[in-house]
Amino acid sequence: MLQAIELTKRYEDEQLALDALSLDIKAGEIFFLLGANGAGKTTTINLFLNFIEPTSGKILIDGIDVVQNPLETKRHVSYVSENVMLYGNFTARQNLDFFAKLGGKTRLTRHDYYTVMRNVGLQEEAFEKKLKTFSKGMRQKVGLAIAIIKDAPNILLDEPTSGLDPKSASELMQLLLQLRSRGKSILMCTHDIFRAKSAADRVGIMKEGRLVMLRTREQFLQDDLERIYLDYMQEAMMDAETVNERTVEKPSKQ
Amino acid sequence: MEAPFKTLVIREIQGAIIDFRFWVVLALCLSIIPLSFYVSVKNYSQRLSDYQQEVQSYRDRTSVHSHMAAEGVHPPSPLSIFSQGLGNRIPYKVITSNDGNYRIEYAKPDNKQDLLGEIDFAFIVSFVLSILAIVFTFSAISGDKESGVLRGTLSNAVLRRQVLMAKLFGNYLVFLIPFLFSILVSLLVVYFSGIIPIFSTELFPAVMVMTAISLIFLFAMFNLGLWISALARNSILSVNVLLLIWIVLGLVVPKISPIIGSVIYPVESTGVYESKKAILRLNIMNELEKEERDLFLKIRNQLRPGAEGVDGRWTDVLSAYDEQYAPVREKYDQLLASETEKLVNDYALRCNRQNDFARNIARLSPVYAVNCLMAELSATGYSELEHFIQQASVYQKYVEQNYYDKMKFKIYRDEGGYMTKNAGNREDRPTEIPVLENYKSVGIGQVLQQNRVDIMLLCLYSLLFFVCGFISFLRFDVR
Repeated sequence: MLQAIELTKRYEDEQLALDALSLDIKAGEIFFLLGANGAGKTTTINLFLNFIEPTSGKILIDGIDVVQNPLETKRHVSYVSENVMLYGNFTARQNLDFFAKLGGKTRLTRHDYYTVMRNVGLQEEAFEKKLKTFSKGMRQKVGLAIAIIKDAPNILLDEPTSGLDPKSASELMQLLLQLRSRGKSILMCTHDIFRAKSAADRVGIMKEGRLVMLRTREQFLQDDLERIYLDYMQEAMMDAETVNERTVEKPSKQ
Repeated sequence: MEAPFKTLVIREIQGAIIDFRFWVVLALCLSIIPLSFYVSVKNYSQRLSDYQQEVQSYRDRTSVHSHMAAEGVHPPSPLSIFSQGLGNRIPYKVITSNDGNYRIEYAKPDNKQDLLGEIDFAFIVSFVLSILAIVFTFSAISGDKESGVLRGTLSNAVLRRQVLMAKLFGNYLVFLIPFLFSILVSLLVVYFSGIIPIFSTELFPAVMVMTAISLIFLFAMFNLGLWISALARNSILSVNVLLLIWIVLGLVVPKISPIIGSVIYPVESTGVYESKKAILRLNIMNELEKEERDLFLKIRNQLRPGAEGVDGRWTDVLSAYDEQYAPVREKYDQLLASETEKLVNDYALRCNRQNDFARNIARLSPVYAVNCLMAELSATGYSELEHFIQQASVYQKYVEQNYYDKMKFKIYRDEGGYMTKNAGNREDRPTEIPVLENYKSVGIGQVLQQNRVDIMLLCLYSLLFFVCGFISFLRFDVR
């Protein structure tokens, strides 16, 4: 279970990245967090991973406070980034072995690694190949295999389908649905409204660090989710343009 | 060992071994270290042979007489195969004189040496391996930051300090394998050459200490590499900053420190100093001669007025002169000793002040500290230089007491010239020429005692770079 309670993050330069975000993602639920660039999606993931500390509010993973027990909470969470970067000189299996051991799975066999890699759709001949020869899609699959093999009850994904071809993206979504059926709480940050519509249990839209819309599956299937999201995106783009104009104007005033 | 730490260390070891840099280090260590020892042993053998020939030639050409210039030749140090140190700036021999003076000679530059000097173990450790340590570490953290692997690693239940320590120890262990293995091979090369008993109780402790010092130095360079790697945003920046630091520490600081020392505390050259010493002696001896002459004339005029010339029959004059001359001679001996001592001490003090100042600046560089320690332990450094100069004075005194004093003759001067007469018994005259036998270079205990600051500095640099790297890594923003 992933929980954010009135979570606020203000950086040293006074930029407000997250403003009183409250989330509650239950076991067996896929939550899609949508938003434009700079909306605060990655900041939310960084806070769950304790890469940064919140200015105020609380973050809990399975009821454990992330700030107070960062190591313990990391045992309860797997993470897949936008660009899964692993050790290029290691094979897929060696990477899996390393991250599995880091995740506390020390007794796994080569057979276990092969099974997981097969499950994520990686081709057999790639298992013992060095990762530096892999395409982005193949690396994402290894990343997902790492998240699966850790078998943590919560999974954080930061735009995992970005740059993937439609087939690979679709396979990845199928895997997420399988993981949901095994009771995992999944938080997926993305721009991909169509994947959200097909797989999400709940959707949240973020704008300027605030959660401006929250819909359950029934609600967003009734509403026109694309229309709502595009409106927010357009607003965000206009806001960004205004900010850019201001920034450009500044030097000319001086 | 905690499970994640063990996993991290094993990954670092595996990662380092499959990296081409490891094979470069292995190839370089296994080729240049044994080769440098092989060449150094050959050089030592040549220098030993030169030394033996020099001593033999001295024995053959020199006979025992009151004007002989006894020569004490400095034997080459067998440990110089580790470091040439000061090289030709180490005194080659001391030449005594019956007037109480002695001079030190330095070896002429070796034809074999080129502009950049010789490659010895100290050079390989302080220059080649220190660069390789930087090459090994520059991307250890910055590379993982760039690629995003660090983000993935830290999303697991691992502590940052575990990641840093694993990177440090994993890479350092892999680096040490070719280094230590090549040292072992080199020692066997030296041993089987049959020229230097490298595993003897006399030499082996110094070898062990030099190896330990190399390990501490390389550890410091590893920590420096990791520190900059933790600070830098990417590997390109990291390697550029590290190379700049290396240039400053390895080349600029050690080379510029003697220049700063000589500008702030200028000291005349050894040649000028030796001339000053000789002039001082000459002036005092001239005064003495004048006084001798005056005294003799006074006594002669009192006891044999009107007689000219000096001959041996004037026993009354000569014995009266001997009696009155003794305190005069003593007065001048004391004057000479005190004035010479003043000059020597003043020169030594100014030289030491200049050297100490230069060395203290140079100590800012661990590259200098390790080179200095290697030279000292190889008996080719400043301690050995000072030790030989001290021994030179001891040798002069020994020759004076055991040879010149036993062959002393009395001089009687008047307006027409001088007459000499043997002072001692003929039976007491030595028959064998003096040699500088059983010369012992400065011992390892004394070297360690005298250079404890450099040893502590090397440890301090390791600790300082480690702490800086640790803090930088803890503060690094994973975002």
